[in-house]
Amino acid sequence: MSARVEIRRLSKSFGGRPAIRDVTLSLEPGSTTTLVGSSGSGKTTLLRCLAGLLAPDSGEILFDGLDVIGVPAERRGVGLVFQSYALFPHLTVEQNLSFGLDVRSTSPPERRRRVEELAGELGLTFLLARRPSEISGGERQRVALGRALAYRPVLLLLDEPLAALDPNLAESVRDALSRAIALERTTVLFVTHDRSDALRLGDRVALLKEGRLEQAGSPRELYRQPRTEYAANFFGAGLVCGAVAVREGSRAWADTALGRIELPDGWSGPVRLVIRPEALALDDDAGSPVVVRRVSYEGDRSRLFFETPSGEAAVDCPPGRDVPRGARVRVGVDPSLVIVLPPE
Amino acid sequence: MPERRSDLAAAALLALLLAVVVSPLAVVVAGAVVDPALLGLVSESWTAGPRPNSWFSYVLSLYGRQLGRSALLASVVVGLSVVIGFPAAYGLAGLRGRLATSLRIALDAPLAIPGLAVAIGLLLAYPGGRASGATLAAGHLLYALPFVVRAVGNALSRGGLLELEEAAAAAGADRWQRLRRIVFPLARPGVVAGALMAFTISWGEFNVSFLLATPTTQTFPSALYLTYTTNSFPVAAAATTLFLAAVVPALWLLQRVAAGEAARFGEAA
Repeated sequence: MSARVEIRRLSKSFGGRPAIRDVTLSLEPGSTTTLVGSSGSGKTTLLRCLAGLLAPDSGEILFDGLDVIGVPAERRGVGLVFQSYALFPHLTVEQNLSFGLDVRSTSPPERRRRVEELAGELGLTFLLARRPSEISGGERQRVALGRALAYRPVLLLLDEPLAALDPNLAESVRDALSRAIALERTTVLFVTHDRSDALRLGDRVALLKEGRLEQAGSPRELYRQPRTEYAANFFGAGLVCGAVAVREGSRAWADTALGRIELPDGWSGPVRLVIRPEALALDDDAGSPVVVRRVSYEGDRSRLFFETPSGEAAVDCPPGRDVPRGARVRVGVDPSLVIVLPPE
Repeated sequence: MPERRSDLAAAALLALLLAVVVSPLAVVVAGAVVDPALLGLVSESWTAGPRPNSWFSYVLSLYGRQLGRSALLASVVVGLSVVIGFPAAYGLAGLRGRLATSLRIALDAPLAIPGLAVAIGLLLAYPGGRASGATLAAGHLLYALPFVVRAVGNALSRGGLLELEEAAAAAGADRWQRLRRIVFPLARPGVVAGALMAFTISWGEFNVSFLLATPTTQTFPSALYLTYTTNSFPVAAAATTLFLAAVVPALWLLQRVAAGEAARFGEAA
């Protein structure tokens, strides 16, 4: 039932201002793709084009090879979950869940079976007779998810479904969400501005920047091998410094403010290095000396910030060790965790 | 306990309001049913008139036709204002920006224009409709429509209509199914409230009715006015009581609808 979705060179402007530009992306059947970007990057516009609520200016959208542009929302068979739930306030939880089945004239026994199944999956069994006004925010979002899954959509679109929930509730809804998605095996596009949600919920991650697709790939790929400084900083900010790669035989290295860093083979000439906190460690023997400017205590670790000629960098200090502000420490670099980018 | 204090202030204000609004009405209603002498209102002409118990039948015999006419007119106005007001409110709910604002202002404009001016405008625009009462109905409609559109519009916007329709569309509901399953049920309390409001407005409308009335289209409020200027107090009081007998239940129902709607949707807007 789940569709292969292909988005080809899709563009949409509002009053001359482009919202998405030339986006090409495919969603594998049964996979979950997270669409991530800062606000205004065009995530919701892309989602609304897929749902059929917005007509793109140009480009194609194919569901299993069939162009669906021009097909109205009600005939696309997609499930849509809004950040604001958008539950029908005059209907009970049960009627909300079965809405998509009712409008499809599904037989009553089949309808009842499906609603019971979903209510069980989503922990809504004892809320079926309630109205949306009588249940909590987390429960509402689970109803919204159930309503979108009930008619077995070929594509499930989730528009920031966790953004309106407080962190604890979001955690439980996130769990319900990933369990339900795994059970239903539909193609999913999950829109979020939260980078950690993007990494942990997606089989694939697509990063949008100002309406363009910046990079798409596996979560590991986007985190470990970002192709741009924007992508690198989006998923984990670090010190960005310019350096010159020197090549000698099969080895390459660059000299930086934090000492000589071995580079993967193939680099030479000017490069940019992104050094995230996890690429650094306190190394009292061989590290470069730095002065701690600022300490951010986070319980399981303290993050120590220090100045380098290229800007501020941070290193994590294990919880057992107490380093005060102003302390002199030595910092070592794990070259395998340093990201190398071509020069600008 | 500042909240408790403001509660007390609100209660005092309400009591004052009730005293100012309700006590004159109470005197009038009492005047219709008890001997005027008991209220300290004595005049030689009343001693010759019919007995206080029959003031109502006297008024009915006098103004039965106007009562019937007002009821018919109110029904027509209620019907038309819902038939025109519902689609108007639904259309407005989907509009954004300057156009929507202009339309809303245009819709509310008659409320700000003196009834006299509205009546003269209608007379000049539709001279032919005066004899049949069509011009009169149009005048009432001008006053009733803004309330119906407002009431329906509020009912629709309280649930975030646009997003609900989108959710319904994505779930597979076509235009007609969205109207029937989402828009109509959401609008219903607003339609009922608007209809009741339209009824009370038409039933009590005086300015336009008085100016546009011909002997064959005179409405009950006009008759009521004439009663006060030309007839005895008990007769006018009985006529007023009949007038209130229609309005008070409508207003009471209006409150019930509002309370029912709040209970139904709660804060899950």
